[in-house]
Amino acid sequence: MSGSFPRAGRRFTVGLACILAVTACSGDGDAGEPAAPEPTATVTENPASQAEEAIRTVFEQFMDAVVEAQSGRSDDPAALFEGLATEATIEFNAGIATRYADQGIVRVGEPVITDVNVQVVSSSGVVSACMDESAWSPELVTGEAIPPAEEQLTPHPIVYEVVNADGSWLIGDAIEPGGTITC
Amino acid sequence: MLSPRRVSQVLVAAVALLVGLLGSVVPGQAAVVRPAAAGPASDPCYVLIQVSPGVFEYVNICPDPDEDGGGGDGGEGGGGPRCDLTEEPYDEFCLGTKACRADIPSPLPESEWPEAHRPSPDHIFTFVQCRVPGQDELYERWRWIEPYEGALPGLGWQALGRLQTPAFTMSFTPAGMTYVGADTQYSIDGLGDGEIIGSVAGPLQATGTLSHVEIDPGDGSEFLECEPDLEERSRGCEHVYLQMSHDQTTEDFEGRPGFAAQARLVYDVTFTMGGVEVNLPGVPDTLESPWNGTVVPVGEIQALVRTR
Repeated sequence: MSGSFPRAGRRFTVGLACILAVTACSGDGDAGEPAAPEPTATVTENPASQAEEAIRTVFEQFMDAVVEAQSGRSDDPAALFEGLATEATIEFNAGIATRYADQGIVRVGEPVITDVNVQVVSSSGVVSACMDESAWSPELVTGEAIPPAEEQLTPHPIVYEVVNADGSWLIGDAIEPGGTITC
Repeated sequence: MLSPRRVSQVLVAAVALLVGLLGSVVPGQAAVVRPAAAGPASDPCYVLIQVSPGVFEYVNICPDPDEDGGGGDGGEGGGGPRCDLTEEPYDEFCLGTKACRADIPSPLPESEWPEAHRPSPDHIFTFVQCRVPGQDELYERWRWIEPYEGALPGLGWQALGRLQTPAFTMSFTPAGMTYVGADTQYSIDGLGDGEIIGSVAGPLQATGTLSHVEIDPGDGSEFLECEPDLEERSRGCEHVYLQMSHDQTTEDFEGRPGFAAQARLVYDVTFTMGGVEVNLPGVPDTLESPWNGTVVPVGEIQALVRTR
């Protein structure tokens, strides 16, 4: 295989990150929705929770960038991800946006992200969440709706690797949730 | 005279005719906006694929209007290539007037392919990049394509990778311990019927037929090749150890030092496409299993040595 397209296949080999994902998500099911912001409110001095807070912020900005990139409003989708994601993830997302532009597809609205969960081990970690895409509809630029697929109508888990590069956190490859998260 | 009713009838007929004509002129694209295409399954052009875990992408898989009759089969239908295949790497096949290359094998696992839209079992779903005449930007799409001839070796490697050699065990007689000068016979269990068949990679399927068993007696002598006898396990795998194993570092389950003998299975591999055998230059036509072994303690019995 040659060429510049980011390999989807590579993203399925996740090694350590996958193990982290398991631990990250095992507590998710019973924790319920409001559990997310609590730890940072109580232990602000803890470096681990500071990292967690930073990752939550980056993840939120990253998802905003994904929505913006696929909305068709941006001329330079790669720039939206600057400082938020690794090179490979930027290329991957910019690729989707470019193909959407070519094919006249836009995504209207935005997904609902819930149950954000962060696990950090020194300079890497995993962020997981539930994504409901039912209010983030695909359309053609002509205004015609593309029938949404079944996968979009129910919340599904997403898991991303996060890496620390020069002191700031970046969203890395998407990794297989592995059935440990229920949304 | 034309009555108002007559006029309206003619108008309705004309509109119906026009709609019918439009529908047939642009089949792929027009179908998308057809209001009747309600469910995701009924839409012929747009599908959702999971390009990365949890990350979905909408993909228009319909051929562009400039591509011959669709199918995305590399434009082989109409009298030679219609595109300029001289610029690397976009020199693999044509999609209409576009000069293209494809990721082969596909970066997307087969479980994620939009199977319902597969034009034929020979098609694979992969990422395609094309040079469009008179345009700077690359055309990049996920598409069903029929692998062109030059892509077959790439798929051959994939098909080869799908052949799984069986987990086998190795044992020897005399059981437990053998002796200097005696015939030690190795047995291989778990060979099945000697044939292994891989799952299909695009249009290709690999089949392995057990050729022979390779045995390393572990005492520094040359490897043996023996014919597998599937009925009576593996016959003819014999070796005579000429030295005792008391100074070996490997030990059997009972703690006796022994030679680390090992075996592997060697298969002849053939590739078929639609049931017809194909020759793939550069792709190995044999496949070896991993080594698996047993510890063979070798003692000395004077009487046994004399009788031989």
